[in-house]
Amino acid sequence: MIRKFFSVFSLVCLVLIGQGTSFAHVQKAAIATIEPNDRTGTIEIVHRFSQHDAEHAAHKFGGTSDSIISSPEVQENFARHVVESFGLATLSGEELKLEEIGFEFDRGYIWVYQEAPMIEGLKGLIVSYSALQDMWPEQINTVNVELDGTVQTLSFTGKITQHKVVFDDANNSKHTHKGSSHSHSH
Amino acid sequence: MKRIAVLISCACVAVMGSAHAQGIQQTKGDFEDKFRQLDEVLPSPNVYRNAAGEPGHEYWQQEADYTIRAELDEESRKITARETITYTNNSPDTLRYLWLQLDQNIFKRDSMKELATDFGGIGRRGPAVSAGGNGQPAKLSLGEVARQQNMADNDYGYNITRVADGRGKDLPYTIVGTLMRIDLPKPLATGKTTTFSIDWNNLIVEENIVSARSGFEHFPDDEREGGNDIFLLAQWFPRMIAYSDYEGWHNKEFLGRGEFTLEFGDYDVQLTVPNDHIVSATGVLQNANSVLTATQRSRLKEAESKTDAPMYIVTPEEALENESSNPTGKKTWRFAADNVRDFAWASSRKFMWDAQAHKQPGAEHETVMAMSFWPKEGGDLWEKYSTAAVVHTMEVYSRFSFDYPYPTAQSVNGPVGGMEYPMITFNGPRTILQDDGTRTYTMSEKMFLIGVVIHEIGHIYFPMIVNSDERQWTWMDEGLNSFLDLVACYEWDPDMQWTGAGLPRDLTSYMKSSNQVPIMTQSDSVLQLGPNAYRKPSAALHILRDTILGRENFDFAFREYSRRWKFKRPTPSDFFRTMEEASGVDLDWFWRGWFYTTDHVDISIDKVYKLRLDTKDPDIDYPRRRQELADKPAKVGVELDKAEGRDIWVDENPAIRDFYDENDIFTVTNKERNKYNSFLEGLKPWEREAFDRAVEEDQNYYVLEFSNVGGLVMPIILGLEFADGSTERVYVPAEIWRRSPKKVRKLLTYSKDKELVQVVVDPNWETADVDVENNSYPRQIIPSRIEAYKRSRSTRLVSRDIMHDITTELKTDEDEKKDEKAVEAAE
Repeated sequence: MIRKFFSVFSLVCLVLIGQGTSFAHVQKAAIATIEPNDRTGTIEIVHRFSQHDAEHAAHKFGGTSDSIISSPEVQENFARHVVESFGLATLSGEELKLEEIGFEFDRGYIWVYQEAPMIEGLKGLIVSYSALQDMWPEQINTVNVELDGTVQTLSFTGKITQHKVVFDDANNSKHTHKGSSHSHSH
Repeated sequence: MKRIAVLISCACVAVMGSAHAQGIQQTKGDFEDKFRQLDEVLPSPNVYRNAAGEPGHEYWQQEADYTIRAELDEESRKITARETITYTNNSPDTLRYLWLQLDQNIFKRDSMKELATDFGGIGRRGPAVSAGGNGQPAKLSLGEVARQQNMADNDYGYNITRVADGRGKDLPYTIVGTLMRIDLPKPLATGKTTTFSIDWNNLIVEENIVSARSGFEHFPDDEREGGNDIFLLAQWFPRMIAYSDYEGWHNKEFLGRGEFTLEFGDYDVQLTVPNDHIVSATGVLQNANSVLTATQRSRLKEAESKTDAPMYIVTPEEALENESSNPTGKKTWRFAADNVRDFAWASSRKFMWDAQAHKQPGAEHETVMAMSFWPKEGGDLWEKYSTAAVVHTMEVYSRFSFDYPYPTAQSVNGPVGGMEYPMITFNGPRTILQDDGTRTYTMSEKMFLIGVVIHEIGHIYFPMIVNSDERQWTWMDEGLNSFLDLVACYEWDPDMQWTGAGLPRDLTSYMKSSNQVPIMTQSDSVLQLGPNAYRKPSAALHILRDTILGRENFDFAFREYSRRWKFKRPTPSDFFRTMEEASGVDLDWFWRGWFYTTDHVDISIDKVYKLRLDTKDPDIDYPRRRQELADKPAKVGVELDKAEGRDIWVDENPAIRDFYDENDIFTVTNKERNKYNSFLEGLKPWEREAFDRAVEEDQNYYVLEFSNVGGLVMPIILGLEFADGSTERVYVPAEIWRRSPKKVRKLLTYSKDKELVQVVVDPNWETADVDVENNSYPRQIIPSRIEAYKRSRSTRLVSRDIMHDITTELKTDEDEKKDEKAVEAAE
């Protein structure tokens, strides 16, 4: 299922000859956060895409005309594309195993959730992210990494699909005294 | 010599610029004046734009009137045209040359945009490419290959064949990329007018190949042999570059991102197209007699008084007939438009056309024709919602600004996702053709259509009428328009999940990110145009309206800005100054924080203290102190002694007792009572009155301590909950931070019976506070999104496939038994 979906995606991507450019409403921008949750001892990854972007993308690479709201298959395909396009590794290159938690719709966005067990003494991360960039060169995926008590923002464009982020030791110890931190966007 | 002088003056400006940027500095301590007035940052007021944010008493702008004759060659997708421009110099300056913009030249193979494109780079428009690296191969999608082949095969851009003055004499001209300079035979003095004409031809680009905001779209599967096209023509003729009091010639190369700013003028345009095409254009059709059938003309007349719903001018059947047959010749459509800053048009034999009258009693145009043009691919979606959304937009936007000042407002479907021009907009959403031949659309496509029509028609107000400079300050039209389009969307249906909404709560993750640029950044340099130019200013204006100024005051000021700058050219400072002047509220701190910095909002409530007024009366205060001591937890060591059954000296020696065993340190003597009496006697009558009252009321005093973690100063909005179950909302103006921008305290007083139990900062999420965990006192555990999701996963309704599930047959008892058996077998 996964493999089939991806071969469809890359094929469609090749024959895609641009689509109507849009100056409103198709945002071509996603935002993700990587935050610690001390209550559960996990690193939480929350991806946010506008529902409309997701639907257009799903129609292109899912080969279906179903609405993303009414088709679990389209939703699943989209969420899978997002998690497959995202990866975390330690600074020495060891990949973190990310658990797929699920996805939901809320306030015009589709939210995709992943988590990983917290690693003690984590010095930094290598983050890879390329969601939707095969489709739209303008797609910008922003990631706020908030594991050391500060916000470090990474910007993924079609050109840059991997970033390294190094944590501040002083701050790193600070966050363990804090509860989990949350974005306001519930 | 002259060049040296220019260089020197440039250098001086640069040096002064950086010195100025430093301005006044706090060189001791770390106090930051978040309320410092903006006058050192804003340009100096002058006779053209005054200190109140209004056009000054000598405000001027140029005028450019156009007469255009253009012919569309459908076969070769080519425009051949002549325009005559009448240019009036209202500036106080004498002009020796004129600049025009040749936006079509962006499609030339050697254009700056083409040469300066960062392969796979950020913010690029057009088909997908990826530069590779990090072990990934570079990618070139077939789309990009097709684009390059298309550019190689076709000579796009203007082919200027002649430039002549009013008497037909050739004028010298120089093309510089997407710009053209015409040297005037004699300088054009203040108040004078010059007329010249340009002949040109150019190939029309295929929108889907080159991403151009305009162009043609081909429909190869139509019944007609060879298929059909929709032509959307915009930025299609050489246009005068704006010349303004604050920038002189706005001659900036067109790089594709920053849009336009242009001069107002009157247009008389004749468009010759195949005689089965339907044309929609800026302005009003002048020769319906020669281009429409008698039936269509009478429908158009009837539509002028049809206000309840749109009616067809060209029916779906007529459109279908047109698109499956061939033209027999050509027709010329003539349009006139007064006081517009641009002219765009669309032409196709695929178009159906509907119209509805929008009435504005007492307005300059009491009847505005709201109209839509779309091919069968638009289907029901367009029939139901396009013209309806055009009318709704005018109703909402006019309330916020002024009566719609043009006679038509149009929405046209074509290959462009969404783009605005005076009186005409291009909107992309369509239906999907199903295998059974029906056309359906998804819920998000419906939201997209309504949202995009509102947004683009809204742009006719901002910036097509309130003529801000899109190439320089994208936020001035996109931000204001995103703010208003959301107001209009919620007035359409508040329950719809409007996508990409610019509400404060949608902005928190962007605003805390560390790589953003201030809103006040030139368009071509903005990293993320969506959140920066559309949604952050929109969120700021929602906060300003609903939270800071209040609706009545905001709406008055916003209408005043719109009125002042209607058909004129405002800059950011004119907006900032007008909103302040008209609302009567000092907003410099707000503009500074939201538009000039990258601070975010994060206000934390750190502590709450409860205080009680001393009565000074020892017979009241001393027992209180005694009680306070008794209320403290017992000493741990003493308790442990008790538990161990340790002997206590005083218990073992009951015979030895003295005065202090009966009187503790809180025992009141007459010494204290005398002191109290002389305190009361020493009070002046008014002091005594206040004191007695305070003692009698014995109120609860609470001191709330806040810190500003995000840096952006904002009002503190408090949700208070009391022991008796009552609640209260308290609004503390942002000015509380003026002397202490990092930490403040607020005293709240309540009657004796009102005991505070819970405080929440920004309970309705209206200020874009990025961290809600520090917003409550006492702290509450707020589940993260993932925790909340895990908890509610079993009850999610939105992902049910109701359309499929509804076909499920109800099981009979017999079926149930079979199922049970099957389960048992499986176990």
